[in-house]
Formats: sequence, structure tokens, C-alpha cells
Amino acid sequence: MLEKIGSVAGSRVQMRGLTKEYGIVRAVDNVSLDIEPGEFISLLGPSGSGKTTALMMLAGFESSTSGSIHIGHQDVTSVPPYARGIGMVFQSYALFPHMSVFDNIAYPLKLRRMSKADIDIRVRRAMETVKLSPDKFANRLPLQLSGGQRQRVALVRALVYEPHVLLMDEPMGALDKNLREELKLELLNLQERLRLTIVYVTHDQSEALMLSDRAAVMRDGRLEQVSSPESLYQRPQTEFVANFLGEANLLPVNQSSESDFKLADGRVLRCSLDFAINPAQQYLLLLRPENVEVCSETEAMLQGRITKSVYLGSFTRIEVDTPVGTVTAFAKPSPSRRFVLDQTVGLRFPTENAVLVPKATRG
Amino acid sequence: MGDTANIRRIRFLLIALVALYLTGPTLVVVWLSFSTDDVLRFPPQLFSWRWYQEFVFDERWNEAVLRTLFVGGLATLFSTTIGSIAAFGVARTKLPAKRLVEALAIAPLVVPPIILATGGYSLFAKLDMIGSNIGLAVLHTVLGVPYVYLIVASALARIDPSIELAALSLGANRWRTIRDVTMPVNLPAIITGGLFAFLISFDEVVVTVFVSGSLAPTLPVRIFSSLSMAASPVVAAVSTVQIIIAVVLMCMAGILQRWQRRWAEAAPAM
Repeated sequence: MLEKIGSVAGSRVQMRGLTKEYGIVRAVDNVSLDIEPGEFISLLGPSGSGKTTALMMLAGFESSTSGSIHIGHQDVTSVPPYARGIGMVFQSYALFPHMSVFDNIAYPLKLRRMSKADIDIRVRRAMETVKLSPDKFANRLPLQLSGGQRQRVALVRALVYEPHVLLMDEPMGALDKNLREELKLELLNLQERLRLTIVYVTHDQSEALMLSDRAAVMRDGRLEQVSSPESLYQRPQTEFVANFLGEANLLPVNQSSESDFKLADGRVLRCSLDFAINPAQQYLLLLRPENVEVCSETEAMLQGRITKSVYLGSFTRIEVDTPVGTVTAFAKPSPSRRFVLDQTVGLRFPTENAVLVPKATRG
Repeated sequence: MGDTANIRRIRFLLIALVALYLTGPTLVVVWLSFSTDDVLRFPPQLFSWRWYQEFVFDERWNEAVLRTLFVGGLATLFSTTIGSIAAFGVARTKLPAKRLVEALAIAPLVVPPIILATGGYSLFAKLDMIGSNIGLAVLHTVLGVPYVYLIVASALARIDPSIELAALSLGANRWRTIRDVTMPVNLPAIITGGLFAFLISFDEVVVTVFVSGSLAPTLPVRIFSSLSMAASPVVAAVSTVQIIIAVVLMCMAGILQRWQRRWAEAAPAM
């Protein structure tokens, strides 16, 4: 049944030098991105980073100042939204309040002049796909649905006519946490079967990491880094990306030889670099808090005093004041080990394969 | 305890006084309309339907009613169309000079009607349109547009504009989007605006006096001239009918507003 809704294969989406200017402000600045057919890609960034504007240009709601957009083999840069053959899910669901659930889902099919019988079959099947019983929900108005149900209707309405590309604008933004987790899994499931191209805008990094094949981190209208969730998290290329995804300790280092770097206290780190070091550039060592281990003083690489300690269930988040700066660590509490303020602890972390990011220059 | 009871009593009294102040004159008119006297006199001798009969069977009153309805209907049609399109244009498009359109649409609310009347009279005298129903409807349209504009604009501001984007993304062109989504979702507000436009035309006197010439006047103008010639209680009967129509239309506006709010609740603007 599922393969009957949504397209069997997605289209390639290409953005080339896409730019949007509002007066002197560049909301989207020279963005080029190739999205593979069937790929789930997130546009991730804080508010004002241009991710939504980029999506609006993909949908055709905003014109671009310069640059081009291709969907499949077609240049759609100046094609109006209704002729782009895309599906779109909005943060506010955007269901038609005056139409029943059935009529909402049937609307795109009516526009495509399908027969009444065909529409009936398709809408029912679509509703079943997202676990909305047609007998129970078909005649309800959006007003009579919960947030999760509205989101499901919005999703199938955007899929029922089998678009090749699905655009989603913070679709989970208005839902509570449990529902969000449930819908994320459903979405992954759907995507796995339909293999349509999905462009998903979010400011929630965990959502992007969980759902996407690749995520594009945006900042001030530009693409900061585009890569798989793993490499975004493990090997961020900029200080901004390192800070935006998860928590990060960033400690200043100085190059001492080809692949050796020194922390402020003189400790040497060995790095496997996948980029060329610029001698004029300052670098920072990326240390994820979960990779910092609390240990005895004899094994310690750093020592310091706990300045903050927050119990979070599976671990305790502590901040330690060390000679190289404040280091955050996710420490595993145990009956024999508690973490209290002003306690002196030893810290240790792997020094092989250290990840360096260039320090951002302010201004 | 005695204090709060007293405060409550005083508050009730004040509210009753204000209510009486607001409705008193109207109620007096209703009372007068059932008079058995030959002339308007307060308090009247009760009770008879004779003035209502006179109103219904008098040819000149009938003519005034027809003219009022015709002019009102046309003015409603025109102002609803113009006001709604202006509100949509300002709220949902990227047209330049939006502020100017808004100012023009609202302007008739603050410009004294006498100015419109004078301008209308000079213009119509030149065009030989004094006494023209369509001419009068056009001037009433000017007075009705601000009401339609404000009511529809406030409805549009409350409804999530992404439902229109959704229709576009689903394959509807601009026109279908307006027809299938924008219009039906804002229909209660559009009708409410129309009701107001009708009411404005329905009791407009100043402009109508100026441009009606010697032709049969509309209801309110006829009431006005009857009063200045002979104070017959038929005027009170006509006014009562007018009051009833106004009250009914206001009730309809109330129901429509609730209907509009339902749509806005299901798709609120963020």
C-alpha cells in the first residue's frame, strides 16, 4: 500500500549561486548545493541564517536575486510554485480550515482532474498510511484534530499526488517532544520506502542529525559546511559548526611540528589533518565532553576544580577550571564517585587523531 | 459585606443608566410608532398599527424603499469588491505603495461627508447625473469601502498566510488559490463588511440630499423631509422598521464574526 503514495524515486535538486537580497541584506548568499535523488538533506542553522529563505526559493514562493535552481532536468528558477511539482509541509501545518480532512487531502488530486472514484481510493489509502482511520477522520475539520493528527494530514496531503521533492519547514516545531520522536520515526520509515528527495529545514540539531543523510549548516546566509551527520559532529570544519552541533570544548593550540600541536600547558597532541594548516591562522582543539574522562590524579592530563555540576541521569555534566581553560565533561557517576563543587579532579582525553578547527576571526 | 453589596448595586445602577442613555431615544421612537394620534406628540395615545399601514400602502414611501434598497445593494456590491481587493492587496502581495492604498481606503472615515457631498454635487451637475441611482451608489460606495477594508484586513491578519502558500505548492495557481482558499476562508468577514456597507448606505442623509435632486429620495432623506414638513407619526413607524433591519443585520454580523473566528483558530497567523 505504501508504495502507492508518494513517488517511487525522487528528483535531483541543484542550487547554483543562489542569492536573495532584501535591500542591502543578503538573506541567502551564493548558496550552491547538489541534492541527490532520494536524499534526505537538512538545512540547519539558527534563526536568521537564511535556511527558510532558501527553502522558500526552492518552493518558488520567493524569487531569487541571482543564481539558479534545477529540479530534475528542468530549470525551475522562474517557474511559479504551482508548476514545480513539489510537496511542502509547513510548520503551522497550513491545513485549509474550511475543508474536511478528506477535502484537504483530495485538493491536490482535484486540481489534477482525477476522477471522483480515483480520488476516493487515493485519499483513503493515504490516510491509512499515516494511521488515520478514514471512517473516523475523513469528515472532521482541522479544528477537531490534535496537533499530531494535523501534522499527519499535512504530510499526506503533500505526498498524495506523488511529488518528486518534499520540502519541510520546521514541521515538528509546534509539537511536543514525545510526539516529535514518534513522527520522526514515521518520517524515516516513509522516506526509506518512498526514496523521495526531502529538503528539511530545522534549527534543531538533534533532529537534523537523526533524520538526514546530509546536513547543510547555514550561517548568515552562507553554507558553513555540508556533510553527513557523523562528520559534521566528529569533524566540524569551523568553530561555528563545532559549537552549533552538540557541546564542544575548544582549546587553543600552537603548531610545534608537522602534525604535532601544543596545548597552552605544553602538552603535545598528534593530529591527523585532512586540511592544510595555514600558519597565520589560530587553531582550536575540539574536545567533545563525552570524550573527556574523569580519572585519578596520577593518570590525569589536566587537573582542575569543579565550578559547576549538574546531575542529568545517565551522566553528570561538570565544568572544570583547568590551566588551559574551562573544560566541560560528561562524567559517569558511580556510588564511589560523586562530583561536588570545588572538588579537584583529574581529566584525561585521547591525544591521537585530535580534531582541530580554525579559530573564527571576529568581525 | 454590606459595602460590597452596595458597590454592586451602584455598579448595576450605573450600567442601567448608560444602557438607558444609549437606547432611550430609539425606544421612544418605537413607542411613538404605535401612536393613534394624527401628529407626533409625546407621550402618544396608544395603540394602533395605522402608521405601519400607511407606510406599507403609501406609494411614495414604497418608492423610497425601492430606491434605498437598489442604491444600497449596488453600493454594497461595489464597496465589498473594492474593499476586499484592497485589503487582500495590502495584506498578501508585494505591491509598492501599500500604505497609500491603505490610507485611501480608510480616508472616507475621517473626511466629513459634506465634502464628499459638495464634490459629488459639482461633479454630477456637470455630468448631468443629479438624481441618478448609480451616481448615488458610487458615492455611497466611497463611504462603505473603509468598513469593508478594515473588517477584511483584520480577518486576513488573523489567518495564517501559509494556507495560501500550501494551495500554491499543491498545484493551484493564484486565481484558484484565491477562489478555493482565500475567498471561502475570509467569506464571513467579506459578508460582514458588506452588511456594514449596506447599513452605511441605508441611513446616509447628507450626500444623498445633495445629489438626489428632485427625484424620489431614499428612506432616511424622506424621513428627514417629512419631519420638516409635517410631523406625522408615520415617520416613527418607518424609523422602527429601519431599526429592526439594522438590529437584524448586526446580529448576522455577530454570527459571521464567530464563524470567521473558527477558521482563524484552526489556522492562526503566527
